[in-house]
Amino acid sequence: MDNPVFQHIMNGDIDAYSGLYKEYYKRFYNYGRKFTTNTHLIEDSIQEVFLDLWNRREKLSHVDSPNFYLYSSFRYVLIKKIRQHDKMVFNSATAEDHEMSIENVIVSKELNEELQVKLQKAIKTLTGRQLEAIFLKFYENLSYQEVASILNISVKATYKIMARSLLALKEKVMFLFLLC
Amino acid sequence: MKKGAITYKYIHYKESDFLTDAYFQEWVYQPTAEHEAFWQMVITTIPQQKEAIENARLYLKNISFAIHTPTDAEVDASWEKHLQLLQNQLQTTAAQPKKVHFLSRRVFLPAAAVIAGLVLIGAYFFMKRTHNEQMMASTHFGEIRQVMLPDGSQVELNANSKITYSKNWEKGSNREVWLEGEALFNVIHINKDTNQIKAEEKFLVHTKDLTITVLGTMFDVRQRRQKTEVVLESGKIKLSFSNGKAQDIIMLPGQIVSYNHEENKLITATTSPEKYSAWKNQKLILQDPTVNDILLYLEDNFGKRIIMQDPALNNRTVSGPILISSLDDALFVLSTVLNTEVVKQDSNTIVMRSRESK
Repeated sequence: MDNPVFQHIMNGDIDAYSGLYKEYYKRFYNYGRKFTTNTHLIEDSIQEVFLDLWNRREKLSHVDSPNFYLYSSFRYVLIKKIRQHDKMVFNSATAEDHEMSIENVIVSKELNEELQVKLQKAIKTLTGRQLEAIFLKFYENLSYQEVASILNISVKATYKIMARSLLALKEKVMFLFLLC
Repeated sequence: MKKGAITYKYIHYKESDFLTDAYFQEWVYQPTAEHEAFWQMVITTIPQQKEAIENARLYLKNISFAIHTPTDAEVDASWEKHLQLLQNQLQTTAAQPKKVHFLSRRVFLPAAAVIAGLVLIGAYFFMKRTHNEQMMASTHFGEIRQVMLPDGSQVELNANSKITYSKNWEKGSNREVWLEGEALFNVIHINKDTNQIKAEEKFLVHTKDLTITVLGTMFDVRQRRQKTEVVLESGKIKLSFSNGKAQDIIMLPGQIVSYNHEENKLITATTSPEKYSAWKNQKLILQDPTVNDILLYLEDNFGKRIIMQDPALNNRTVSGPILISSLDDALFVLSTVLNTEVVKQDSNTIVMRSRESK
C-alpha cells in the first residue's frame, strides 16, 4: 500500500475519494491528451475507471501500487474508447495503433538551431511507445516494471527489438562492403 | 559489465538507440554515482561513440512534454458528475432485487397478480366503492403487450404503461378502464340503438386528466408527462375533462385531441390515426415530429435518459418512420439522419453527440 489515501477509500471516506479523484483527473487529463484531443473520451474514461474503483473499494487490499493500478486501468479504458470511437465514426484516417503522438514533445528553445533540427530528427525516429515509456517513467514516476507492464512489453521483447536492429545494421554494413 | 560486453552492446548504437535505452535515460534524468561511473567507462571504452552519447544526452535534457491542464471548473464539474453517477448507481442497485423477479416472470406473475389484486381490493374496500376484484396489466420499458378485457375488447398496451380494470364487468354498470401511459383500444360494440345507450353499453377510459366515453370503436390514448392525446380511428367517442372547465368533446374518426394539463391547453386537429398507432407494429410515426418529440417518446418508452448535446438539433423535424423495435435501432436510425454518434454515458444515460464536434 503506497498510498494512505487508498486506505481511507477502502473505508468509504468520500473526502479522501474526492481528493484522489481530482488529483488523478488532472494527471489523466494530461496523459490522455497525449493520445487524443477528444476530451469527451478522456472524461468518460476517467469516470469509468473511478466508478470501477469505487465499486471495488472493498476488494482493493490486494492492490500493491494504487498509482500503477490507476494508470494501467486508465490507459486500457482510454485506448479501448478511442478504438470504439474510431470504429463508430468510421475514422479510418487514424493509425491502427493508438500511440502517444510525437506532436506532444517540446524541444527546448535554448538549444542552438543546428541542434534543434538534429533533435527534431532524432525525435521522429522514436516510436509512440518509446516516448510513452519516457513520459511514464520520468514524468509520472512509475517504475520500469510498471511501465513495461502498462505498455505490455516485457524486458525480453525490448531485447529482441534491439537484437533485430543490430542484425539490420550488420546487413547494411555487409551491403556497403559488397558495393566497395 | 565487462569491457567486451560494453563494446558489443553499444558499438553499433546510434543516437536514437541511446535515447531509448532505459539505463541511459536514467543516467540523464536521475543520475547516481553508479550511472556516472558506468557511462564514463562506456565513453572511454568506445571513444568513437562519445559524440552520439553526448548528443543523445543533450536531446533528452532538452525535450519535454506538452502540458495539458484542465481548469479547476472542469475538475469540479467532473467530480460533480461522478457523484451523480455514483448516486444513480445506488438507485439502480437498490432497484435490482425487483429485476430478479421480473426475470422469472412466468413463475412470479400469478403471485404478483394476486398481491396487486389484494392491495387494490384493500384500497377499494377502504374507499367503499366496489367489491369487485381489480385487475392490472402493465408493461416494462421497451415492451408491448396485448390485453383482453372481460367483454372481449382488445387493448394493445405500449411500453411503460399500465391499465387497471375490474375483473368482472357486471350487467348494468359501466365498463371502465384506468390508463397510465399509452394504449390502443379496440372496443367491442354492444350498443344497438345510439339514441338509447344503456349503462353497460358505455365503455370508459380514464386518464388522470380526462375520461373517454366510447360506444364501440378503435382509438389511441397517449397520456405521457403533462399531456394526454387521443386519436380516434373509427367509431365515435366522447371526452370529458377532469378539471370540469373544458366542455365535453365528441370526436370523429381521424381527429386528434391533445390536452396539456400543465399549460391547460387543448388542441383539436385532424391526423392520420394509423400514424399514431404505428407503434404496435414497432414503428414510430408522429405527426411531423421534432427530434425532441422523438427523444421524449423514446425516454418514456425505454426508460433511459437521452441527452442531445447540440440543442439546435432538437428542433429539427424528422419525417419518415423510425423503427422502434429496440432503443438501439431507433437511435441508430436517428443518429444516421442527424449525423450524430450515440454514446452510452452510463447505464441510464445516452448522449447524442455531433460527429463534427471534437
